[in-house]
Amino acid sequence: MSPIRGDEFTGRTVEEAIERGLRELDRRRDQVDIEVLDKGKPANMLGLGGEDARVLLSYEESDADEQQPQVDEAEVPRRPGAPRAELDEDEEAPAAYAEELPVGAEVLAELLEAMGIEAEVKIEQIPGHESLEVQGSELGVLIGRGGENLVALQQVVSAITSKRAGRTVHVPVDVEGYRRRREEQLKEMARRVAERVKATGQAVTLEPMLAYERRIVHLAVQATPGLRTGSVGVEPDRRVVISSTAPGARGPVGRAPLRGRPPMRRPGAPRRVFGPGPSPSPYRSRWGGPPRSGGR
Amino acid sequence: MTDAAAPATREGKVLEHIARQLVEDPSAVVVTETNDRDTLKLHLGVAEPDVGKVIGRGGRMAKAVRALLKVVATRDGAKVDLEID
Repeated sequence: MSPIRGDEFTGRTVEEAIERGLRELDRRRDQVDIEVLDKGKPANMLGLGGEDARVLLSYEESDADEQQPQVDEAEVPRRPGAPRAELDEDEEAPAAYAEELPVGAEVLAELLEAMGIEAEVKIEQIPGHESLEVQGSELGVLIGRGGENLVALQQVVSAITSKRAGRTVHVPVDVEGYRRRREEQLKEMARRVAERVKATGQAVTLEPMLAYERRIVHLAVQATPGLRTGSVGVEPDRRVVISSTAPGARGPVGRAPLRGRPPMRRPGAPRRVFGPGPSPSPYRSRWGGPPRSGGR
Repeated sequence: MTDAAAPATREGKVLEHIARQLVEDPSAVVVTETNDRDTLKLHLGVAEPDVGKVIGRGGRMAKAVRALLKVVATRDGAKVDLEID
C-alpha cells in the first residue's frame, strides 16, 4: 500500500480550505479523507477578529507526488551491532582505532594552534567510545550553534588524519564534553517523546537537528517496539518524525520543544504532515495556523 | 606581496595549513588574501587533480573549512569569504 500523507490547508471557511487543498493536491473529494481541525470564526463587521478554518486532507501518496522523504545517508542507522554507529556521521569511514587516535590528536593540536586557540587535546580511551577531547577555556566558539563548528572540526581532522594514516578513518572529536552531554539529552528526549507517541498514537515531529543528532534519535527510538522514525524536510530544517505503527495511529501535528522556532508559514500554504491515516476525531495542533488576527 | 609569499593573516595561514595536508601536491597550494572593507577574501588555488579533495563530496569539506575560518575571523572581529578553484 502506498504511504498515506496528510497536508494541512487553511481558508476563511472550512469549505474554502478544503477546496484550496483539493486544488493544490490535484485530487477529487472522494480521494481524500477530510478532517476539520478548526472551523474558524467569521470576522466581525469591521473585518476583525476572524479566524481561519483549518482542515487536514489525508490521501494515499502516489509515485508522482514529490516531497518523498529523501534518505539521508549520513543519518541512516547502521547495521545492528555495528560499533559506535551513533557517533559516526561520516559515511563509510570506520572508526579510528588505537593506532590512529594519536595521529588524530597531533593533527587536532596542530590545527588548534594554527587557529590560535589555546587548548589541550586528550585521548579518551573509553572502549567503544575512543575519541579526542579538547579542553580549555572559552571554547564555546569551537562548538558553534547547535554543535555545527564541532562537526566541521571533526570533519577536517578526520580528513587530514585519514590522509596521514593512509586509510579513511573517522576521528570523533568532542569539546568540553559537549557531544557527550548532547547525546544524553537527545536520548532522554527521544525516550520521553517515544513514550508519549506510544501512549497516544499521535506522531510527533521534532525540532531540526544535525545529521548525527538525528541518527542518535533514530537509534534510541528503534529500541521501542511499535514505533518507527523517519525524517522530513531539507537541511538545515530536517526533522525526525516519531510515529506509531499501531492501527489508528495519527500523523504528526505538534512538535516536542527542543530548540529553535517554529517555521514561518504563509497562510494557506500546506503544512507537510506525514504519518499513517487520518485521526478518528478532531484535534487541535499545538502550533496552529497563522497568528490570530484581531487587535490591530 | 609576491606570489610565493606566505599568507599574512591568521585566516590565510589556517587555510594554507589545512589545504596542504589534504592535497597530493602541497607545493601547488596558493592562498591569496585581499581585503574588501571589513571582509577578508581568501582565494585558494590547488593543483587540478586536488580540487575535489578540498571541496569534498557535495562541498562538505569546503563547508567545514569555511566554518573553521569563520571561527578564527569572528575572534578577530572580521568576516571571511573563501573561494576555491
